[in-house]
Amino acid sequence: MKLTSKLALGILVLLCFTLSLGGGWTIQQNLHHALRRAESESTALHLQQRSALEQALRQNQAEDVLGAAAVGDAYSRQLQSAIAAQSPSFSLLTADGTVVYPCMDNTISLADQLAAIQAGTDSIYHQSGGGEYHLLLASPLQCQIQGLWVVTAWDVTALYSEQNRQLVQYFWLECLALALTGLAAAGFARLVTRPLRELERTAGQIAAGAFHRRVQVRGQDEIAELAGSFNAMADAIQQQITALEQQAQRQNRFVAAFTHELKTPMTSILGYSDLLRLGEQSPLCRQQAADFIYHEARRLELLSHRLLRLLQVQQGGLQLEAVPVAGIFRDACRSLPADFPVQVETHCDPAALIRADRPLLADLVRNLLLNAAAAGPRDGVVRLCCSRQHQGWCISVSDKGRGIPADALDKITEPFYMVDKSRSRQRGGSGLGLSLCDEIARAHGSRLEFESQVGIGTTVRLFVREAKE
Amino acid sequence: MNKRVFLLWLAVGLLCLGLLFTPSGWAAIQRMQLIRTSTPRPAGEGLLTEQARSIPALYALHAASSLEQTLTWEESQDARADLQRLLDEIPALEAAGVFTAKDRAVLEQYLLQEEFSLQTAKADLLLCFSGSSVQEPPVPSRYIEWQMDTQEGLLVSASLPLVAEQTAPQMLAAYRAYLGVDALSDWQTVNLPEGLGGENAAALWSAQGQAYLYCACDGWRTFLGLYAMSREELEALFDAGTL
Amino acid sequence: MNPILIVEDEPAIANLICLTLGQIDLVCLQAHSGRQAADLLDSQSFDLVLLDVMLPDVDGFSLMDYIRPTGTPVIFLTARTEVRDRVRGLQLGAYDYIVKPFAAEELIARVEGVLRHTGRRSTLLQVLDIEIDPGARSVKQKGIPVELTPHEYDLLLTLVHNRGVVLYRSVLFERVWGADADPSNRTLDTHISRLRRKLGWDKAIRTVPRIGYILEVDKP
Repeated sequence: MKLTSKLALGILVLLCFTLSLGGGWTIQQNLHHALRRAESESTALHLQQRSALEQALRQNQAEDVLGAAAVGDAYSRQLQSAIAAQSPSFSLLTADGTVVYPCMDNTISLADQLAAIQAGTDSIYHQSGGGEYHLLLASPLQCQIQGLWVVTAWDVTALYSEQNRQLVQYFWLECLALALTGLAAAGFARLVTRPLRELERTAGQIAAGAFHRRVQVRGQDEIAELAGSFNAMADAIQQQITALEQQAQRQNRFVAAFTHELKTPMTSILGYSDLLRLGEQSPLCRQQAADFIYHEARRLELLSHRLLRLLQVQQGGLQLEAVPVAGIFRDACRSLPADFPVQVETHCDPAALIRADRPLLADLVRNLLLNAAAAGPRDGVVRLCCSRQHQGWCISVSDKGRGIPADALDKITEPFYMVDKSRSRQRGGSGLGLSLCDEIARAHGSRLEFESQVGIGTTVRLFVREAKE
Repeated sequence: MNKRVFLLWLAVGLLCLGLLFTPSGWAAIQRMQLIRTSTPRPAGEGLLTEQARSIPALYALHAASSLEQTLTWEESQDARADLQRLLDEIPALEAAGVFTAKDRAVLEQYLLQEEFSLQTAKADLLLCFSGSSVQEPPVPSRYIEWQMDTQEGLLVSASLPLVAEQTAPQMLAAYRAYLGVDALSDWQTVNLPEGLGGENAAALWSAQGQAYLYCACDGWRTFLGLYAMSREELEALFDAGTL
Repeated sequence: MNPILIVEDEPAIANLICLTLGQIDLVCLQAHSGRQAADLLDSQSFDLVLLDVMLPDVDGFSLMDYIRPTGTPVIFLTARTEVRDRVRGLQLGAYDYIVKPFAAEELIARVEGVLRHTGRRSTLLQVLDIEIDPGARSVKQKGIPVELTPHEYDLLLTLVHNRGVVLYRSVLFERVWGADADPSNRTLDTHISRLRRKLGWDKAIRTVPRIGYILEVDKP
């Protein structure tokens, strides 16, 4: 069920309950108090009338019912003349039911009067008849006539009709209140839940694939907080999905490139070996075929070696220890081929000590040196430096070779990427060299930084944290 | 779902409707319960209980006090007869213990011997007498005053030239019994204000009877009396400095 | 009779293709880059272009725009196996698509098929005194059709493609009967003798003892 409806329903029921019970009780209390007042007044009047009647009876020395009747008559006249508006309302009766002097409304039956007498001298009898209500009070008269009672009536019809009026008025008031409140509650609930509906809509859109959608945050209440959190979540999701998409794309590119790098030498090897096994080819043909097979196989070997190293580094298994940078440089230079075409200039602070995996880092340096040499430096020198930086050391390899074009700079560490394919192929390159270096750098918690200009030169930097003794 | 929601709304609607008619329903039920039954009368201030009302002395006093006419005093037609009334009552007072035998003797002698000019007034069920000695020069201390109720013939108040032998509390207790008002259970001692009544004075008040009982005896006179008085009237009296 | 253009940056593979196509008497020219290919296309016409998609300087697909106006049929060479790429290639107007690595017979068959289809050149093979029509799988000797069973035909074709080279028995058997068949000397020998008889090539198909067979053709 809709929250809007729930809210409206709840409020309505609560209001109805409160109003009805409160109103009903109040109106009842009104009547109660009015009756109490009437009782007090009627009691006072009754006693007063009783005293007066007793006195009158004494004065007239009434000894029988006739005399009493005469007294009653005289007294009622007296009352009438005194309070012209109000008609006197009493009657004289004997306890056994003989009416001595009646002077009451017709709505008050004899039975009622007798019931009042029955109720006694300390009570008030509530009478109703012919649409009218009275309070009847009965008391015995102290006089010479035995068993004479006076019953007085006090009209309380107005009180009851007032109550009726109040009830009717309250009923309509309550109806109106419920109607208005119902509308207001519904309207208010809609207003409050509007942001929720917007949230729901946006969530649906995001679920359908529109990851860039966000909710507008208005105000500072709980709903606004929810909206804010929702947006943050959507941000995180979008980021995650983008990263995953990029990851997947990178994966696809890797697989495609790898497949190509694999299939190309395979084609040659298969083709030439098939040729050889078919029949006695000419010596020249044999020589050529065997040559191609060998070189392509070597290419595969290098590729698989590099790939394995790459996977190894990616999956961890680094042996980190405190290593002097100078040592690493020495290892790298020593591992260079004998016919290395360029000269290596080393500048290294002997105190430089870093946390690294020695063989891996030596490999990285060696690779960078080879690349630098392949760039064909104009001055025939490759500079290998280690300098202080911040809280560690910066290792750099720079050359004055042909440089890397700007648009290729962010792609060179991608697996299998080669700026100049033909030249790399000649060297037996597979495009994995730099990507392996990048993985090694990453494993050490760092990245390779490339700075290059076509025709000027290239510098590759790596920042490594200092090892604490 | 739609059906369930509809049912829910229907239920709520019916509930609200029921609640709307609750005040009327409740009022109707209350009314039915009240009509043809009786409720106790509210207790009023300054009203006698029925029991008190049945005591003739109290009834007479209250009846008289509710009279709206002022007393008209007249010369007594038969002073002797009126005095006799008082004399007839003195033995009863002695029997009740209000007066001692000596008091009675003094009173009787006094009343028989002296010549009084009496004035009387009738207040419904009370007869009031006021008299002074005819002696020359008039002796103020010989002034006499009393009231009697016509039903039982009791002396409801008197101011007599007598130096009573008993103490005021003693006399008061006896007087209370004599009047028959000790049937009332709530006689409370009244603290007389300083200066009023002297050393030998006692007073009681009852809410049930709305009456004030007083007895005092100074060196000259003896006062006895039962008066119809509400608490406020008593306070006012004290404030005014009279007894 | 124009040559075939091979656009492939890997020299090993380019050479291999050249050798293979040489078996069916096709002359090839090699281009190792897109630029080189464009130059050659400008200078002469070709009967067929074998185009590698992954070239170092230009995208193979974009080179198509260059070739299409010449009307020369194109066969793509690639290591990519995705359907998307294949469809793209065919949509651009290539006739066929060869996936690396490829078997020599597959290459020959595809190339012959395209040449036949486009009517660029006749694919008839003329060897000694016979004429082989690969499309119809028929053999005519001096104008008269020769009836050959499918295996005989395949055996003849293998000998013709590798004429002048001594072919090893096991591989010869494998080529004709498939790798799963059980090689018994008898089958091969029987077929060879039948061929000899049908074509009258007793001398032409020479037995090399303990090694295999060779179809000898005298080259001037």
